[in-house]
Amino acid sequence: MFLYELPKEADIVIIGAGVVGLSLARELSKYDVNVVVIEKESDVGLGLTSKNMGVVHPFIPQTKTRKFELCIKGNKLFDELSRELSFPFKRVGLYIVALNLVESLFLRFIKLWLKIRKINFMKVVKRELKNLIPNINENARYALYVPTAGVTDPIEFSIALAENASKNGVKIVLECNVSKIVRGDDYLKVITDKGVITSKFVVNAGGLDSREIMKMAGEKPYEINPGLGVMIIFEPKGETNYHNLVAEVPLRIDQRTKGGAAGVTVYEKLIWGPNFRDIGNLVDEKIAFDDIEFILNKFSRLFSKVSLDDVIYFYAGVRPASREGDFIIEMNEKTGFINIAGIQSPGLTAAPAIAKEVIELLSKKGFKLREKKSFDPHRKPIPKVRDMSINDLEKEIEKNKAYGTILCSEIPISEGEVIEAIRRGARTVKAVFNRLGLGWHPIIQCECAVKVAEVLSRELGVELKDVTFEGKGTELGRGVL
Amino acid sequence: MRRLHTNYLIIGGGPAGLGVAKSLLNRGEDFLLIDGNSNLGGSINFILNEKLVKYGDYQSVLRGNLEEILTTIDEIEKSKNVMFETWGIEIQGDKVIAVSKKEGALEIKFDKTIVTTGSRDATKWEILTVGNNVYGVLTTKMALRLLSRGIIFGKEIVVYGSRPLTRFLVTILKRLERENKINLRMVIDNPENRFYSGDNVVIGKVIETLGIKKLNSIRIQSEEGELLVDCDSLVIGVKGKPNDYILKRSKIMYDRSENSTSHNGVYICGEIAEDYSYLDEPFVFCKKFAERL
Repeated sequence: MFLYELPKEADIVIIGAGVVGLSLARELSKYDVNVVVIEKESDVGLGLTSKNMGVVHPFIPQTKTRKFELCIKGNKLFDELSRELSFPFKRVGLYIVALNLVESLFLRFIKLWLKIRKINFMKVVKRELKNLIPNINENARYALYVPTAGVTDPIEFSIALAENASKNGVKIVLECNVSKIVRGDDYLKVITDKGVITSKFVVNAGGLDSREIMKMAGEKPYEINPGLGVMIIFEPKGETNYHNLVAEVPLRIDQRTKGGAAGVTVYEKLIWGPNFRDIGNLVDEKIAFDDIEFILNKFSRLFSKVSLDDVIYFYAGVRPASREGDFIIEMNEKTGFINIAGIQSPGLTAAPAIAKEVIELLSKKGFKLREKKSFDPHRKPIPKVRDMSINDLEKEIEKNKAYGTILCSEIPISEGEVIEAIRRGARTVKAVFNRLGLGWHPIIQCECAVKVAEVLSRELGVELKDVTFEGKGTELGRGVL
Repeated sequence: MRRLHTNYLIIGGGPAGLGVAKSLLNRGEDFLLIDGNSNLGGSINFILNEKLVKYGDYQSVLRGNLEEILTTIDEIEKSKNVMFETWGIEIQGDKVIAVSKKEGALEIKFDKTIVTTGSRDATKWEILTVGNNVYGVLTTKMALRLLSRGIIFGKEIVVYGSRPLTRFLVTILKRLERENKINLRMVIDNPENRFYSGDNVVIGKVIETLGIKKLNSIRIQSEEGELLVDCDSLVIGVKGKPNDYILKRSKIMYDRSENSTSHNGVYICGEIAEDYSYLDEPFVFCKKFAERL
C-alpha cells in the first residue's frame, strides 16, 4: 500500500497526504498520469485532516470567496464519494436556533440569505423543535433546518482515498521529508531525506507546512494569522442526546471562523466546538482549561440539561488562516509549482472540489489528461465486528478465524479487523485505530492499545518494544526488564 | 451457531466473578463462567505474572486471602463450568450473544446472569487533564501489561493516583528505581491517602501534559502552587470507570449502588458496581452477594 523509498520520477508530485492532497491524488488516478504523494508522517491524514469536527458544511457565511464556491461544490460530491469509497458519511442536517427576540429577527435575515443563495432549508417552529430535540433550551423560539449539512470521519475518508488512489497506480511515500525544491528548465526537482524526485509539476498540499514548502520553492509565503480550535467529545446519555448539528444564530461574522456547533460525530457521539484562540505558532496545539470552559459555556446555552461528566475526549487543531481568510489555489505558470494553501474550514468539505479545480488548472496549462480505462472507483471497507449482526459475524468467522478473537470488548474490536488494517498499510497503533473508526477515541490510553501493538509486533516481525504509537519517537518501550 | 443453557451465567472471571463462582460451586449450582483470557483471575494475573512476581509486592493490593482466590481459580479452571477466550457481546432477553475463539458465535441462555467485568482507569481526558495530547501517557493496566511483557516504558516516570493496581505498579517501579533503571515520582490527588511516602511524593492534581507528540513534562497544581515536572511517562490511576459496555450495548440501565439492573435476571457485582480499595474485596463481596441469588 505505501512506499518507504522515493521513486526517481513522476509527472506530478503532491506534497502532503492529507484530505486535500489525497483527494487530488485519487482524482488524478482516473487519468494516465504518474503521481507520487510525499508525506512526512508515519501515516496519511495525521495533520489538520484529523483535527476538525468532520463536518461537511452546507454553506459558509463568507460569500464572495473561493472557499464559499468550493464548499457548495464539494458538499454535493460526498454522497457519491462515500458510496464508491465506503467511508461513513451522514447528512444529519443543521439546526440554527434562535433563543431570544434579537436572534429570531436575525434568523429572518439568514432565511433571506439562504433563499438568495439557493440553499435548501425548512422553518421549524418552537413546538416542532421541542419534539425533534427534546433537550433544546426552553427559550428556543424558532429554528432553521438545513438538511444538506453532513458529518463524516475525515480520517477514514483520507485512508479510503489513499487506498483507492494506490489501487489505481498512485505511489504514496511515507516518512519522507522535503527540504528543498529546485527549478529546472521544464521540470522541478524535489529534494527529500529519501532522495531526489524529478517531476513536471509539484503540488503543495502541505497543510500546516504549506508556508514552509512555499519558501522551499522560492515562493513568497502568504501571511498567516493562526488560531487554535479545540473540540470536545461526549458520550451521549439518554436525556441529553440529540442527533443533528445544532448551532446558535451567529450575530457576528469573523473572517476566520464560523463559530462552531454542538454537533455529532458520524459514530453518534456528541461533539462541541471549535473555539478560535489566536496563537503565535503553528506547532504547539496546547489546550488550556479556558478553552474547555469557553466551549462548555457557549454551547450549554442551547440546551436545557447538560452533563459535563460525560467528556470522553478532547483535541485541538491549528487553523492556518491566511490574513484575508480565503483559500489560495494557484499555479506558478513558469515553474509548474501549484500552491494549495490557507486551507482551514471548510477545507474538508471543499477537498473534492479543490481536486477538480487543480485538474482544471493543469488542463488549462496544456497538460494532457487521458482517461485511464482501468480505473476502479470502488474501495471495500474493513469489516468490523461492531457493525455485524450475529449471523454476519458467524459467516465472517467461518471465512476468517481471527474475527472470532476479541481484542477489545468495549467497542468491540476483533483480531481479524486489526490484521486487515495492518494488511492495508498500518504500521503503528494509531494507524490501526484510524482504520477502525477510532481516530478520535480515548482507546489509545487503554489496555487494548497494547494488545494491538502485540498484534503489530507479530504481524510485522518487529519486537514489541520497537512498535510505535505514531512513528519514530513514540516507541512502546525504552528498555527491558 | 452453538446454543448453550445454564442457570447462572457469570460474565468476567476476575476476583468478582470468582467470588460468585465460588459461592455457586459450594452450593452445587449449575453455572457457566466466561472470560476473555486463557486463564482466570483477571487483574490477579498481573500479580502472579512470572516477570513481575519478583518485582512487585502484592500486599499493597491484597489485604485478604490470596490462597482462597488461588484455590478457587484452580477449582473453577478444573471444573467444566468455564469457557476461556469467550467474550459476552450483548444481552438479549434471557440470552447472551457471545463470541468464543474456539467455537465461534454462541448463544447462551440463562436464568440469571451476573456481569462481573470490573473497571478500568479513567483516561487523562476523563479527568480533564489538559495541555497537549501526547504519547507517553498511560493508564495503569497499560503500564502493567507492558511490564508483564518485559518492557520498561519510560525513564522519568510519574505515577498519578493510588488505586489498588496503581499501588502495586508503584512497588514494581520502586524496585526498578533501586536498580537505577528509572526515576520515579508520585502524585496523589487525595491528601488522606497515606499509601505513598517520601521526598518524591507530591500532593496535588496533574493539570497539564506537555510536549510535541511525545510527553516531556507535566504541570501539577499543589498546595505549594504550580510545579512543572520533567518526565517521559505519566501513568494514571486516580479514578475508576465501570466496564459496562455489555450493559450499554444491551440498553440495560443500572445504578452503581445496586446489584440488580433494569433487566430481570441481570445483575452486576464487583468493581463494575463499586470502587474497592483492595483487589480481594470484590471476591469477598461477590461471594456474599451470590449466596443471596
